[in-house]
Amino acid sequence: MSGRNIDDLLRFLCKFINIAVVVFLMTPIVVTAIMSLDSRSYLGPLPPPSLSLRWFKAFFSDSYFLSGLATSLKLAVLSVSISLLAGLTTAYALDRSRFRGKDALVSFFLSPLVVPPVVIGFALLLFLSKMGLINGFARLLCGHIIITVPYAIRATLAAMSEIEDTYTEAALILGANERQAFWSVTFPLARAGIVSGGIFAFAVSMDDVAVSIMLTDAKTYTLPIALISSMRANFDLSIAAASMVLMGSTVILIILLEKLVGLNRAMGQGGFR
Amino acid sequence: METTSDTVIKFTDVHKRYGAIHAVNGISFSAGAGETVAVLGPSGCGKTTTLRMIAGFEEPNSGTIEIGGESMIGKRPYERNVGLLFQHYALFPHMSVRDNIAYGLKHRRWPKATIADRVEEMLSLVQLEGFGDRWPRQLSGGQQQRVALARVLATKPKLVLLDEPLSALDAKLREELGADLKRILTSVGSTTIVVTHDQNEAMSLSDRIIVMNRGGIDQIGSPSEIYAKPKSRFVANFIGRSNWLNGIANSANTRGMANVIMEDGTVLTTDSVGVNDGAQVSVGIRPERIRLVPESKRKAQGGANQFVGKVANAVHMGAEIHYEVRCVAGPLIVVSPSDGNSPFTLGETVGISFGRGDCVVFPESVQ
Repeated sequence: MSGRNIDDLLRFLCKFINIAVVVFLMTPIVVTAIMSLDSRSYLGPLPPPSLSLRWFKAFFSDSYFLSGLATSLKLAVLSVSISLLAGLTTAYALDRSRFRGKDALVSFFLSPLVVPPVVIGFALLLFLSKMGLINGFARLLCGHIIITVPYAIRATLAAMSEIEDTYTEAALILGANERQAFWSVTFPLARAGIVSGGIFAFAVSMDDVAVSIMLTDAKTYTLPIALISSMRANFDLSIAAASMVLMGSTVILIILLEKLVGLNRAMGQGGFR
Repeated sequence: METTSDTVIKFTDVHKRYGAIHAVNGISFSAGAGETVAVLGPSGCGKTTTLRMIAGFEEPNSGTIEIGGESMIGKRPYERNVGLLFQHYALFPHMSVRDNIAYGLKHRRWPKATIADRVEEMLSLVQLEGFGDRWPRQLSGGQQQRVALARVLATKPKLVLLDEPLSALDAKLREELGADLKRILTSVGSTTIVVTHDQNEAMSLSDRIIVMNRGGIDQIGSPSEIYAKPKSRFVANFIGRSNWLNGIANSANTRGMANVIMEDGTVLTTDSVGVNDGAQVSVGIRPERIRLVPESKRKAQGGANQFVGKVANAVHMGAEIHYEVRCVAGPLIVVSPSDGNSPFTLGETVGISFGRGDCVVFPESVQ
């Protein structure tokens, strides 16, 4: 066997593995999508004999799921907004200062990424109970801010550190004060990075089970929690439809944000370094 | 340091320390209206810190900085009316050329209609009419620099700072844009400080050069003064090249002008005065001040200092030839104008001469 044959074989193997990985990742989503459109009222073998939207109808007429979806969306929007604000101010302060232990502080801000969410949830449950915070939504909000803030800080910090200091200096010497320089130069240049951090944080919040399950109560629960508990109670395919809704709402939000805020990428950005 | 009514910028005993590092060590200088002054020195000499203190990005630890007779201590960059052309231009990538030029005017609260007119005026000043709607990334390096210059000059700053203005461009563009830059700055009559490590940039752009070394000023003077009469060995080495010959000073019978006796007994005559007899000195001679003649014509040659040497190497550099000549005093680099072919061949014995005024003498201890 000559060298080039081995090369060809390896290249083929790489392609094969590549495709296998994609199939492996996509299969659950495709199967769930097909199941959500299944017209049968029982779990039958795939593919279904005919398609229908009955499980979506069931989902959207189920007040239990709808309430979970509403809570999830509210939580995600609020926690991501707060996290981005915190991320932006933190990243700005860290970017503009030099001090001993800065690196340690940066790792501290990113630390919840390495603490298991279950631990965060359990700790918060104990802490908030001791504090007397019993409002379910407020407790969930605390938890979701904690899990989303590292993504927001990381994304904004990365976006800001990529912007050269000379842009700010140019703005200052041209007559803009620090605030004006931030809003007219730093923020627009960091916007794409901030938006992508926000999208990531949103997905994390929408998707979270581990922290939410600790902090949820009978009246306030997120969609993933609603799915889990209804799966235990009575398993039907409205769960598949709910999964599609959960996925769909995240995708729609990503597209919306991209269109609204990320548009400048097409115009001014790219190739400025 | 004299202060006239048209002094635009004045440094008095300015110090700047970063921890244990004395980046700027008590410098004083001034520049008058319409003057272009270069601050020249190697990296780490304190020139960038000087620029940043003028711009207001750094505050001096002590000393005063005045612009237009007004103290700048404690003033923010946006309170100074100083323009800065950044080395890599720092054009805002998310704004059109027009918005870049208008940026300073907007923040200095010019009326909208006036801003539009001023932007057009600046575009035509830098010969980029019709480029207003382009994006910075669509422009060549030279065009970006002209936009940056337009942005700097738009607000009519009292003082313009240029940070290594030509270093980001390739060699050919450099000459062209250097001339453009000089023409534009002269036409608007701006007072300019050029900070650079490149002697050619300093020589070609400025009326006066401030040579900085290790946080201090070694010499202030016109480009020709600094070239012909460097005050220190550092200046002589940093600006242009020099041959260095070592010996002991002796001014007996020379009306105070130092003779330098080298190790082998050869005597160099110079017109330097005030050199202590018996001191170890270095004598610097510019390569292009040394004349070479064929050995046969040696007798007819003028010049206070005459030697015989052998041509060890000859390199054609286009307009000139660089020779290495071995003589009793050591190897000398000689630069001669070229008419296309070398009059001397390798190994040829040649007459070497230079005048007493071509020698600069420094005590060995002073670097």
